[in-house]
Amino acid sequence: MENMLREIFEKELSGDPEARDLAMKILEEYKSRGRRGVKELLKSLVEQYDASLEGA
Amino acid sequence: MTLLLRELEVEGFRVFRDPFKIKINEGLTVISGPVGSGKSSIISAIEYALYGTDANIDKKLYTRRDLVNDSSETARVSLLVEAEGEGLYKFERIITKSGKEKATLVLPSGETIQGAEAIKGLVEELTGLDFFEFSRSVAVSYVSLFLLAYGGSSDRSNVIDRLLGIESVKELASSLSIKLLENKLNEIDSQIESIREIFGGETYETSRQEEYTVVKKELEGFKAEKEKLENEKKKLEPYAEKYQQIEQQIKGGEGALKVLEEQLKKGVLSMEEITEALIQVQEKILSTAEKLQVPDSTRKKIENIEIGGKNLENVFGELEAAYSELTNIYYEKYEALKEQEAHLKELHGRLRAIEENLVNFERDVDNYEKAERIVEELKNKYGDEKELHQKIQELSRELDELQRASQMERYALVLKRHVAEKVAKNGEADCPVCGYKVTPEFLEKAKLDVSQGSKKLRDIEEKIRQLEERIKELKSALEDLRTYNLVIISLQDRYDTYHEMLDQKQQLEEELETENMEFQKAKAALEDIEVELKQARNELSRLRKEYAKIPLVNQAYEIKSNLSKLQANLSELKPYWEKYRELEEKIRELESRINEKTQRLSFLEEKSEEIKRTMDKLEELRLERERIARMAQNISKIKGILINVHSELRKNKIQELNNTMNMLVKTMYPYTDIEEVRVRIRTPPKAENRQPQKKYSTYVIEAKTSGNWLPFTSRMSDGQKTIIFLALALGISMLTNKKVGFVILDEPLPNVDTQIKISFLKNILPSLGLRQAIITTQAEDIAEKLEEVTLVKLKR
Repeated sequence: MENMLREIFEKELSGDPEARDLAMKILEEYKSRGRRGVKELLKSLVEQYDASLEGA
Repeated sequence: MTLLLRELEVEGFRVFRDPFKIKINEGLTVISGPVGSGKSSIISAIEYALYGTDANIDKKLYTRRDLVNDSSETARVSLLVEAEGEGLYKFERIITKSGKEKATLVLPSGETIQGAEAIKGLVEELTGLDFFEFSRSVAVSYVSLFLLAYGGSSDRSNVIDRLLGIESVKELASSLSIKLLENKLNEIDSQIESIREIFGGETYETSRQEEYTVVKKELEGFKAEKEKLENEKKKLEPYAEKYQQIEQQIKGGEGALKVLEEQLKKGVLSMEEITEALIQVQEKILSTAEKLQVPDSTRKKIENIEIGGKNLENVFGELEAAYSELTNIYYEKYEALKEQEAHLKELHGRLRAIEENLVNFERDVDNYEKAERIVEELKNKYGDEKELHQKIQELSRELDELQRASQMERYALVLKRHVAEKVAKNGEADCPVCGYKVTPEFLEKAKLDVSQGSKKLRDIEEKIRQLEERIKELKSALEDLRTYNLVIISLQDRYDTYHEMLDQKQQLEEELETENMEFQKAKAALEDIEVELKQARNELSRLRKEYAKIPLVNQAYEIKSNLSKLQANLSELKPYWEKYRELEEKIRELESRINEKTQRLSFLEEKSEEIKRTMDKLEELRLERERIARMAQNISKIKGILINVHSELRKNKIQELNNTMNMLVKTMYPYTDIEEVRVRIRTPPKAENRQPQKKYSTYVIEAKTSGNWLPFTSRMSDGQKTIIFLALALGISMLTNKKVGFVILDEPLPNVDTQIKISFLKNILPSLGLRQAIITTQAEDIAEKLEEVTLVKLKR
């Protein structure tokens, strides 16, 4: 299933590298940490800016 | 590799208290028996041996501890499973009533694996199924079928997805939360909005910049104007300084004039008047000098002072010197007067001392005089001491005689009374003195004698009393005379001293009177001189002041004249001064404006920094918003792809499932009223404007009867519905189960007729392509009719 989805993402998102990279990252996260991993990944991407502000 | 069941052994497990063992052959095994005989316990034991749980524990209908028989302390399950090509696996689990479990797996190699977790992993690998999948595709109960058929469409779809192995796509899609991103976008929008509200955003910055330019221009203009005015002012400065100088001079002059006018307010005496007054002063001083009885030289000096001419300064000096000399003489006289006064005071003191002393003598003098007076009176009355003494002696002798006569008379009377009493008693009696015989006749006479004697005695006694009083009086007078004479003798010195002091007092009083009169006279004269001297001094002082005023008049005139000139100069300079002041005022105003504008400029500059920071922040937020929006778009795109993939997968799987289901229905169901069955995917309406798909499709189970597709729930009997669920479950099993060679069905057809049951039992294994089927049922009679069936009969 993972390989199939990888192929589909490559094909469907070939014109949008940013979306494709994100899709691959999500797929990788789901493979290793499941649903929770994906949620946390999204959360961390969303909060990247807040974290940079806190760091500054 | 195919997995097959070989032997099951239980003890103390659910209804099986005692050890129970069955061998499981290939083909169909039907386990029959009445309710409570242990049919379901056998299926439960197989599930528990493999996975450590069963369908009821999974549904939380009971716990693992309930697996232990009521009469047993522990439950034991042992299951032999053959993996073709590998050998036998022996699963054994022992559980106590407290829920403590021991799990063991003996591998074909003879190796033993301990522990539930390790065994679970191996089982899932052997079967290719987790318990969820196993309990829905291998060990299927009527309850599971019922829940699958009648559960909500979403739940059913999820179960079917999972069984078909496509749930991960949906799970992945649903874990991509767009909401999270939307919330973040809203948050950023709100922050941007809030900053814009506070700072007014770009519009504010534009207006600030415009204002900055305007204010800066205004400031430069004000500065240039100020410089111009200051140059003008500088040109006028000498005039302004001169003006101020003159103004100051006028002020000073006016002040001085005021003082002079104050001094000249009471008028000014002429030289003649002052000369005349000075002559009078000279006369007065001369008169005073005579009263003071000054030496002739002094008097002549005063007489020789010449008062005349224009310069009176020397005259004032000479008169003041004369005054001074007189004052000295006055003080000499005054000192002499003070000495006289002191002498007077001394005399007064002495007089007071004598007077005080006299007071001390007064009481003795009184006593002396009183004694003298009394002695004189006593002498006049009784004679002197000697005469009085003789008189007392004479009277004392007379008293003695009378007292003797009285005694004699008293004795006679007593005798006569005694004799009379005897005569009265005895008629006669002898006189005890003379022995004379007394008779009653004598008694009469005796009575008369007694009466006369008593009278005589009273007279004598009266005389005695008078004499005694007279003697007492004389003695008392003698005593007083002696006493007062003694007083006189004792106080004689003090009395004499007192009179001497009285004489001294009188003498002093006379002296004092004379001296005091002289003193008062001298004092009065000196006081007059003092007054005259004071008058002379005051007059001299006044005249000196008057004399000093004469130059002030000229001075005042000069000041007035000077002031008039200065006023004229001031008037000439006034236009320049006014212009200067006007310029000063304008410059001040400009300075105030420059200050105000500078502050404003500084504020705007500070604000600029703040705005810059805010704009940077806004820019950051805009970029972040873009990033999140882009991410949201990407996530949305990815989610849409996943949903589409999921939908496609479903389509493919469902086609396969539908084929299998129809094959099963045709082989197991002997009637033709169910023409066809299918699982249809109900897709949600497509998203508009080429937006990614957001909603998931669901499954609908339908049956075709009389050429019409209908939901399986309508117009179907319960038996027909059961056939459809069973076909669905077994169809899924065929698609998902690739390793397990058996199927376990717990009372799969409770509500169908015998024909269907027979058809089902006959065809189940060939239809599914499996090698073992374990089916529990109460329809024991039907099973007996079938060939090649292992029938296990259970009893309660």
